[in-house]
Amino acid sequence: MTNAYDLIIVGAGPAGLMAAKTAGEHGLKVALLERKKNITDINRACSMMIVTLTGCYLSDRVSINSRDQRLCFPAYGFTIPYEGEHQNFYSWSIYSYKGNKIQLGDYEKNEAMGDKGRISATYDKGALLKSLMKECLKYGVDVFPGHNVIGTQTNNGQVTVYTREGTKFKGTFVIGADGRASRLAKTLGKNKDRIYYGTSTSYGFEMKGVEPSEKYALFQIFLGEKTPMRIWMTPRADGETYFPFISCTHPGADVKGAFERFTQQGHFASWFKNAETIRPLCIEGNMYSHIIDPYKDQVLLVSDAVWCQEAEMTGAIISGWKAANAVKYALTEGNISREGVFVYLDWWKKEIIDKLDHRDMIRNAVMPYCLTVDDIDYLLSKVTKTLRSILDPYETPKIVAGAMAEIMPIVSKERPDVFEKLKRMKTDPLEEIFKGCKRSGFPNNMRSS
Amino acid sequence: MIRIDRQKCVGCGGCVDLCPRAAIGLYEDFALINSALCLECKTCVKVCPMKAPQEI
Repeated sequence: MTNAYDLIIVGAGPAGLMAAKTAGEHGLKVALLERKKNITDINRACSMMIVTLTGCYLSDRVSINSRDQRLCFPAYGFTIPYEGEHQNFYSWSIYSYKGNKIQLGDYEKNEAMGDKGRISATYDKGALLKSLMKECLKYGVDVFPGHNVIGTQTNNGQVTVYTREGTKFKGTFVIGADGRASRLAKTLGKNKDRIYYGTSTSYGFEMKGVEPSEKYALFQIFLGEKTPMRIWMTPRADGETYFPFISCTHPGADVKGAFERFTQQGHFASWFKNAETIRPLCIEGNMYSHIIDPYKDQVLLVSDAVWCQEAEMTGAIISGWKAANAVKYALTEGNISREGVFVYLDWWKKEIIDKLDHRDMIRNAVMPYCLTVDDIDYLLSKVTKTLRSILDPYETPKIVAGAMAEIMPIVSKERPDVFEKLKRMKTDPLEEIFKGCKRSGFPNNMRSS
Repeated sequence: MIRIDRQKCVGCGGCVDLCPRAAIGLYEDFALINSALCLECKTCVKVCPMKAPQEI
């Protein structure tokens, strides 16, 4: 037991680093394992938006303390260092491929109000990881980059973590913060009861010299492709770089070709005529429902590993913090069990399982599966008023749905076919709608240990 | 046999996550397939938008 850790954390993203820092502050002996060699390099597609500076997500509203370079979670009662930039954005435009749009937030009015008018901001994830890493090192966390964790085994109150590299780590508790397609969730059998909807791909380029209709705004564009695809785009935290990317739930779809068509032809090509490509980024992942019970054999699963879709940075930080606190509590009490870490498990049940219906999150993506690109264009052309804008994956769809409800009398008269499709969109089971997204070989549940 | 073209791999780790056999790891921030575990199911070939996994 001499070399054993109190806590081993798998995955050094925002959740893992936050859990490591928090456990370090509590005086625990902590190991942090990460498969990447350069932990603070961001190599995958991420929009890096702060959810949320304007709404209420997981019972908190994040704020930025620029003076002391901290991100604040006032309802939970903690702050974290963030020595990076941020870029406010002031509106959210949902475009059809022909350029009709729904506008959330009055751009000019909001921009003139500065911080008070923003709907949120983008942050620099690399800078956030660096800031958290600094804290981890300050509190004596042992950091092991380049370790691909493949599984755990729990015996006599001790968990052993195995890596592909052949190394072994022993600890009392493990926090699995290994992301959306968590290996630990899979090896612990936690994916078996989840609903699987499909596999999504994100693919895009960081670019400079992009000239969108509004400079600092969030854009969501339904593409005129045969396969349902959407573009998301925001300015990065530096205010100069943009990251337009395709989000698509058909693995193997021609996202590369679609991206080229988007930037070179059609309504949006003018935004990119002076654009210079910096680097491509992508990510692929399964779409699952939440894990109901994020605990097994002294392993706590957090953040994207247990979430439906994405926890966002906010969910990552809060769940990492909660889980590390729970481990500290259990160790202090000497209660090495499920009951010992109730601080985390109670929070998970109360904030996520009881409160958020994952189907609301998944339903955000159904529109292009139920309607044609021209149906969508028609609908977006009918909503003419500017809507209330907040950045919240659960609240914003309600605002859009409200606006859609208002135009339904017109739609039912002008386009009864679209009206019927919209009715089905609301009531058809999601598994039915996403049927086409499932492919042989997915999900990958062949390997159970 | 499938191998990763390092000229194309951006190291996102998507194939590592989705490989049903856990046959892929990230090494030096690139995907690397362990051919002893690989069943050539081509999941990685299907999901990678960079077309980095290639059959040889």
